[in-house]
Amino acid sequence: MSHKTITVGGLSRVEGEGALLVRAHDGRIEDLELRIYEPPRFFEALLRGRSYTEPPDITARICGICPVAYQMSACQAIEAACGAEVSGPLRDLRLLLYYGEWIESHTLHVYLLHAPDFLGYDSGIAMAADHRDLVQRGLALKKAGNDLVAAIGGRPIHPVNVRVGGFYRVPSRRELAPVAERLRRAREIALATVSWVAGFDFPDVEHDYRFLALHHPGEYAILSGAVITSDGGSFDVRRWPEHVTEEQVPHSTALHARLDGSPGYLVGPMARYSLGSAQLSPLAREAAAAADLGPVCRNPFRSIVVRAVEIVHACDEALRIIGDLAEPDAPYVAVEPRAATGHGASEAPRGTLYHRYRIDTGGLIGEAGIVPPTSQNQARIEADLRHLIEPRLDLPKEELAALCERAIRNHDPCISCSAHFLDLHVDAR
Amino acid sequence: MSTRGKDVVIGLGGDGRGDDAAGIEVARRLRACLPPSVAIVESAGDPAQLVEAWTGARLVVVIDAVSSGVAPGTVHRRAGVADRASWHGSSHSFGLGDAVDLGRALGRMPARLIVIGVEGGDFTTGAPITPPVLSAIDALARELEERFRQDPT
Repeated sequence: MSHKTITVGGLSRVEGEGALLVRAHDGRIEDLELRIYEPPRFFEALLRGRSYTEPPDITARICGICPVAYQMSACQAIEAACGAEVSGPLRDLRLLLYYGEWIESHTLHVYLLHAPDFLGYDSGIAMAADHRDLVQRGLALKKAGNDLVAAIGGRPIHPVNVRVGGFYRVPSRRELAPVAERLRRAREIALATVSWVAGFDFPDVEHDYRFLALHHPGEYAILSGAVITSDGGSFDVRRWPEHVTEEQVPHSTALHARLDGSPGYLVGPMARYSLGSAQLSPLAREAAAAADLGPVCRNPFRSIVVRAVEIVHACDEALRIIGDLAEPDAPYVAVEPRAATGHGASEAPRGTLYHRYRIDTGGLIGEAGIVPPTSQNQARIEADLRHLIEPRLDLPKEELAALCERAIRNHDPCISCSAHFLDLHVDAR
Repeated sequence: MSTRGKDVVIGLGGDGRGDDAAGIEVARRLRACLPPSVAIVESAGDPAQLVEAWTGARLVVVIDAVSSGVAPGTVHRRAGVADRASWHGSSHSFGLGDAVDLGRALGRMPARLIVIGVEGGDFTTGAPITPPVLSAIDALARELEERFRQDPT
C-alpha cells in the first residue's frame, strides 16, 4: 500500500496566488484540489449603490493584465440594460483597443511565462539571459500592443478613455498612423512567433474538452456574440444565468462554474480556436495551418501555438480596422439609465468574461454579477491534472510537481480575476 | 516614446486599493508640473513595460507603495536595487525585482536607478488613500519637482 501527497505551494508564473494539493493512494488519486487562497475582492459588492457609469473604471482594477476585457464586458452589459447600442466606428475602436490587450497579454504569456516550460528554464528572466534576442523580440511585440492600447485607451495599463457609450475622446487617423507602422512590424514578429513555438516538443496529451466561447457572425468573436458550446449548444448572453451557475467549493475562494449543471467546461484560446478557427483572418489561418494546428486543438500544451496564432489575428485585424476606420460623429453615444438588468460578455485573453448589472431609474446599481474565465476553467484544470498525473504517479515527486505546474500554466490562469485571486505552490512529502 | 538619455519618473501601483496608489499618485502630480524632458510613467508593475520605459534613460526614479510594518507615510529610499529580495513583495502580479532582473539579463538598465517606497497603511479594495500617505505623496512630489527643476538636463 502506498500513499503519495504532492503539494505545490506558491504556483509560479501565473497571475495571482494559488496552491495545488494532490493525495494519491495505491496509484489512484483520491483528492486533487487547486486551491485559491487569496481573499475574494468583493468587487460585486463594491459596485452596489454606485452609478451605472462607474463599472468600466472600477472593474478594470480587478486585473492589471486584462482591464480592457472588464471595461468592454461592463460597458456592454450597462448599454444593454439602458437599451443603447454602440456600433460603427465606435465599435471598431473598441475592437482595436481589445486587440491591443490581446497582443499585450498573449505575448507576455507566450514569451515570459509559457515558453520557459518548453526550453527548460525556471523563468522567463533565466531564459532571457540565454536567449536575449528572442526575448527582445517578444518585448517589441508586446510594446506594439501597449502602444495600441495607449493610443485608444489613453495609457497602456488601466486605460482611462473608456466610458459607457464609447470613449471620452477618439484618436485621429493621423495619431494612429505610427501605431499602424509598429503593428506591421509586430505582425511579422507574430508570424515568426508561431513558427518558433510550433517547433516546441509537446507532450502527447489530448483531452475531450467541452468548449464554450462567443460566436459572432461577422468576426472571430472577441467583443461580443452569442454563447456557443462544442456540444452544439447556443444561447443569447441574456440567458447566461440560466445556463452558467457558480458554486462555492471549500478549498478555493474562487467560485466554480457549471454549464447546464455540469462542471468542467473550458473557455479561452483553445475554445475560441476550436469553435471558430474558420473565422480567423486569412493570414492567421495560414499560420495555423503551417503550424500543423488543425481546425480543433485538444492538446493543452499546444495552447501556446493557439495564442501565437491569435496574436497574428489581432495584429492583422487591427491593421485592417485602422486602414478602414471612419471618424465617428461623436466620441460616444448617449446612454440614459432606466430600470432594467443588462448582460454583457466578451472574450478576455483567457476566455469568456460575463458581466450583469441591475440598475434603477436613477442609474444606481442594485446588483452586479461577474463571471471571469479562470473560475469557469478551474474545475477543468483540475480534471486536466487528474488525467495527466494519475498514470504518472510513479514519477519522482519533483518531476510530478513540475508537470502539474506546466499543466496549470497551459491555461494561463488569472487568479487575480478568479477570486474575484490564485497563487500556486507545490511541496512533496 | 523614447526615453533614451532622459530622466524618467515611474509611479508603480494601482487605483482602488487604498494606499497602493501612492506611487502613481506621485507620478500624476509630477506630470502636471515637470517639463516634457522628464518622462512620467504609470505602471501596474509589468516588467516588460518597466524595461521599455527605462531603457537608455539617464536617471530613473521609481516610486511604489510598500508594507514593512512601520508607520504609514514613512518614506524609504535607496539607490539601485542591489538588495533585490527586499523589493520582491509587491502587491502586483510581478515585482520591481523581476523588472530589474529582466533589465539586467537583457542589458537594458538605466544609468542610475533610485527606488523610493512609501509605507502604506490600508490596501483594502475600494479604500481611499490614508491621510499620512497623502501627506507623503504631496511632500515627495514637491521634493522631486524641485530636484528635477534644479537639474533639468
